[in-house]
Amino acid sequence: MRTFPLSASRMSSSAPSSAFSGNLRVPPFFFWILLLALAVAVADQLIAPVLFSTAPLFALLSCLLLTLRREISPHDPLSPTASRFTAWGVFWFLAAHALLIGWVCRMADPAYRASGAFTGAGWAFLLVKLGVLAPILLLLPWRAWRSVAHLYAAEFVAGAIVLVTFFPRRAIEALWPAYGQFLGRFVFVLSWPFVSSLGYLKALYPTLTGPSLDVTILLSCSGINGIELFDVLFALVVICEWPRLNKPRALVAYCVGLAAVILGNVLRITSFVILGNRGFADFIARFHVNAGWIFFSAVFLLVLTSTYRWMLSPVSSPSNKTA
Amino acid sequence: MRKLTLIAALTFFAAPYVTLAHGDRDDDREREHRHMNASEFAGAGFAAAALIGIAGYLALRRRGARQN
Repeated sequence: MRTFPLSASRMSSSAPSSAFSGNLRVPPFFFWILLLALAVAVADQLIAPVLFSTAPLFALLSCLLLTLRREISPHDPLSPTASRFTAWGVFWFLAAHALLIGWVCRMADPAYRASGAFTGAGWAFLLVKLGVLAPILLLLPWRAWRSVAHLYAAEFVAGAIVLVTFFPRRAIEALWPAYGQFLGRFVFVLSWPFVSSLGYLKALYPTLTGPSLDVTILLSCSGINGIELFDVLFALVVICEWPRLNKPRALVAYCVGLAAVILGNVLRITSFVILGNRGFADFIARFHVNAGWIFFSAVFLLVLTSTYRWMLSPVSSPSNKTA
Repeated sequence: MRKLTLIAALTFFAAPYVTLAHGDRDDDREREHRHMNASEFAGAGFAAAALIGIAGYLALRRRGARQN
């Protein structure tokens, strides 16, 4: 079988997955796999726009950046077959993408109708959109993937989290009929002691009626913007700190952060209802969007300040080693 | 760090006025009424909030480096 080694260091079966020559760091082989997968996924979406979805692109990009940030020991075990492309692997990978695009283009009209809908077909088509990632498995033999998965387990988990949690608009929209009511009721219960004659109008977009200001809770008030902001900022922190990050603790901090954003959003709307009906109606009506962004920034900084040092593993300095 | 924070704060508070100046110009001419695009508004707010978050992270990182 023909192979395509990417660098001289990959020729040797005993070569490490990432080589260092002087100060120039050669990216690990897995980086090139991810780069190829990302390039082909972008091409898929350009050729067949109905496949457009940011989730697989962000997942691949984050996995790729974390792979670059990883500090690989020369003794990391990576099987020889997991360190080079095979001709058949690349052929099947490209063929699978061609088949996917061909099928989607043939089904273009039903696909466009289904892609934005909350029907069974819509959810099925969502799986097709995420399916652009599947052909990556054809690039390497199965045993080689076991070796890669063992070495890059943390990067895989991070990529999977990005895939399912980054910008979950579809999930929020699907949950909105129930979540909107829960949010409205929760805000009403919290605001009621502070605002006299507060009312609640049950609707798809619930309204809290007050003496000075009525607040309608729209989909954009769901906290999705705050979650997006938190996702982006937390991803930046994770990418910057990846080599010295305690991964399980980072995952816990991420979940805590998401919960804090959702709870913070309830407090944000509650403060608008209370202040808006306590003499600040004009100010709230004018600045509530900007105030929301300030609030979400503050929540992120609060979570980060509380968890930053805890997320980082203690670094063993040379002085500690000698002592 | 102070400059970055200042830029973030200025961007944040200038955002609504910047977006107020844009909008559909033909429509504005006819009605003499400024129109703000919601997507521009959200994008500017998001960018400013992200700047504030990044400034905070960098400050935290610098403080951690000093303590180490």
